[in-house]
Amino acid sequence: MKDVLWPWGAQMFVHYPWVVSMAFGAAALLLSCLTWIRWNKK
Amino acid sequence: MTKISLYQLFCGILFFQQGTTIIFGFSSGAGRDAWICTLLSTAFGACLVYLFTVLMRLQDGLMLTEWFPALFGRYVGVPIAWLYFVLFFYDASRIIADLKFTINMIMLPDTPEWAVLAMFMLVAVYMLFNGIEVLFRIAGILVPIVTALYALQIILLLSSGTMHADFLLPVAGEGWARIWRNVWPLSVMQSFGETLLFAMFWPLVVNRRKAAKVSVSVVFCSGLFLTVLNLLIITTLGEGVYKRSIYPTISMLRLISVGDFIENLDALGLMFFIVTTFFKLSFYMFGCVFAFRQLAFVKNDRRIIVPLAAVSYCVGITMSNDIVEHIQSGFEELQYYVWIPLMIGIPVLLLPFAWKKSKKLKEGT
Amino acid sequence: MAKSAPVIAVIALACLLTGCWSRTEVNDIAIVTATGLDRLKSGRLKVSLLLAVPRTVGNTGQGGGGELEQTSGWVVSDEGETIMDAFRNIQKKLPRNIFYPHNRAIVIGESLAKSDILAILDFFQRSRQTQMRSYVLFTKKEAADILRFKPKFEKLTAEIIKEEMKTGVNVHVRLNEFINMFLETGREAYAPRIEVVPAEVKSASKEKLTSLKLTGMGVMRGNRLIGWLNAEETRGVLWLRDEMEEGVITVDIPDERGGGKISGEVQKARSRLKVRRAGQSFIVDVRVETELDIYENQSPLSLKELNNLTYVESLFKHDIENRILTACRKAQQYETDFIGIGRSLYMTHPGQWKQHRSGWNESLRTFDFQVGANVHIVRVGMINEPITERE
Repeated sequence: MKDVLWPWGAQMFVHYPWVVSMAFGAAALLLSCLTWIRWNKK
Repeated sequence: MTKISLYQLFCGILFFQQGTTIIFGFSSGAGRDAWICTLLSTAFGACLVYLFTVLMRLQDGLMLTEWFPALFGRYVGVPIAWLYFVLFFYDASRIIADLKFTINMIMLPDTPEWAVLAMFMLVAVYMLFNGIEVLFRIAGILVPIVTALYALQIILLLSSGTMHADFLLPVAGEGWARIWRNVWPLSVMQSFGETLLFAMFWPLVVNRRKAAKVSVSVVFCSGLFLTVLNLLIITTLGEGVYKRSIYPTISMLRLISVGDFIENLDALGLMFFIVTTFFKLSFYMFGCVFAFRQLAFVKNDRRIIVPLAAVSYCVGITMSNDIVEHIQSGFEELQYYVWIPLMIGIPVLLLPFAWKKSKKLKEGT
Repeated sequence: MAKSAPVIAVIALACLLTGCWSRTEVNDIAIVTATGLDRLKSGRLKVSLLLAVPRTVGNTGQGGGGELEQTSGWVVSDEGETIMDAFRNIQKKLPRNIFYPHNRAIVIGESLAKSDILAILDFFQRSRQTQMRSYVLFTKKEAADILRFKPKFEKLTAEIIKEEMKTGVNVHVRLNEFINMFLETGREAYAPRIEVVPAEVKSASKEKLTSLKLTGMGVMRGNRLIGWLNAEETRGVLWLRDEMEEGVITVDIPDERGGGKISGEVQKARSRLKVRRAGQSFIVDVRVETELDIYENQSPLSLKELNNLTYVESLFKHDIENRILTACRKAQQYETDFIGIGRSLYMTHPGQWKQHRSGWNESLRTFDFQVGANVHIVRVGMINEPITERE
């Protein structure tokens, strides 16, 4: 487990910080799909 | 609708802003001038929090994640709102990672971290089930107690004769560049930028206008606490040791010795740490739950809480392999790539839109 | 689910709150009360630990000339490449885990002090368990000898050391202060020196009873020990560093006033050190304010008269000034600023300090020391006229 570069991991952050930023954005977009699907249940 | 009193709001934000600084120290890179850094950060922090409250007032009763869909509609606003959910989630996991290293280092070296963190998470989950007003109520009760203990610590330090006022001199001897370097971005963002989280809770406060005032005044109070803490640490440890310490408060408390009898009081410091960290974690998780509930249209909070806690726990544990990369990522990359854009960038950009909209609403009625 | 959740949580918490997983029983630990560090000729470190034997520590007041059964301290030592390495080797000899937080003193032998000391100190800063309140001492011989000393009043040598440090007769330096001396600019480090000496001076008794004595101090330049100061000079340093707490000063009355000696004890003392620029060099201004009580008067001077009192005050004043100057001369001689003149300059004029920083130690020779002491004799004991022969 230790050598895997998790997208949220500190190791990723230190070496490729923009990956983490993009991961944030990607997560947000992914979760937005959840909202859009359920929009009509509002 | 749950109502939170102003006093409770004050206490909640106070604990939140103390956060992990009690152990890690605040702007320790500035050495003996750290207390100046703290004062400056407080000033900037107050401005930042004021900005947040202005946004809150302009939005009139919406919580943070409701601002964006309201202003930008569902295709642009929703992803931005989710971004904040991810932020809160990441910050909550970060706290767990902080705890992971600290508990092992200082208090329980042999206990496996997952067990301790699981306990911590369980209590947090229980708190989440109970609802946000309980958290604020507990904050209201604990603040006087914690303050009294804090004062006790100060008295004990003073009476153990380990303080040297001349460690503070020369003031700003290494120049103001060093001070400013430590004020921005880390010190301002760390406690005060994070207060943006409370934009999730401001709609629940009894009197919204006064909530804004209270929130800004807490900044000053927190700043005072932190400045005093810094002064204590510097006069006891001295600049060289402070800059090199990962846990300056612990080192400082270990120096207390009154009458050769009261010694080794780092347990007291750790108690504070656990309390403030728990509050920070709980607040972040509440932010996550509220955001998810609103954005995913979930009716029952309970279905969110347990999965959220479980995932956060896993993320927190796997986040950092060693303390060095954890601290570095937190002090440097995190600031520039995540916090500044989300805590300052977007709110500032939001301001003109929010202002325009509130004007439109006022003209409309 | 909601109803049983709190119960489950409470039970789970209760199980783990007691911290049983990381428990450390008292009889699983070997409590270290003092540490001795030496460097051997081979270059390896020798670490000696004075361990407390808990069985007998509780019974105080049982001093006496007994041997091993009576003492409750036990010295274990081993060598290694680093301190941690030596610790591991020592651990192999012990049935219990080494437990460090009660360490009271760290004694550093000359052999180690003359080599690189800063690297050694890293261990004490980094360790999770260390006691930054330990006192640091130097010794001319081997630190292990100091630890092996069998105490009389207390059960543990470490307690003796600690109590001696607290009497304030000599300089005392705690570990965190010691480390700070290295890290603060403008100051060199020093530490008191402890030796094992005969308890009675020039006695003819067969029993060689010994005692631990703080005699003077060792001064460092950078990382290394470079010289020793004797007890007299150390008193001067105490005055300079505003650390004088108690002490006895004896002055000679010149023959034309009657001869004899007067001894006084310091009650209060306050010194201030100021540095100012004088051309290329600096003038160091030392101002001392002190109050004395007279404890012994072996001269015929009557202390009832104010004139005499003033005269005696002036004698004390000269004595104190001389002591301080002696300490300053030593700093100049050894070319090391353990007094902290540099730091004083840094505190008041950081810009000037930065200019003169390089070559500071060598330039000490050019400094001019101006010492002024203000002595006030407050009390003279229970009598005022000395007991002299009837006239």
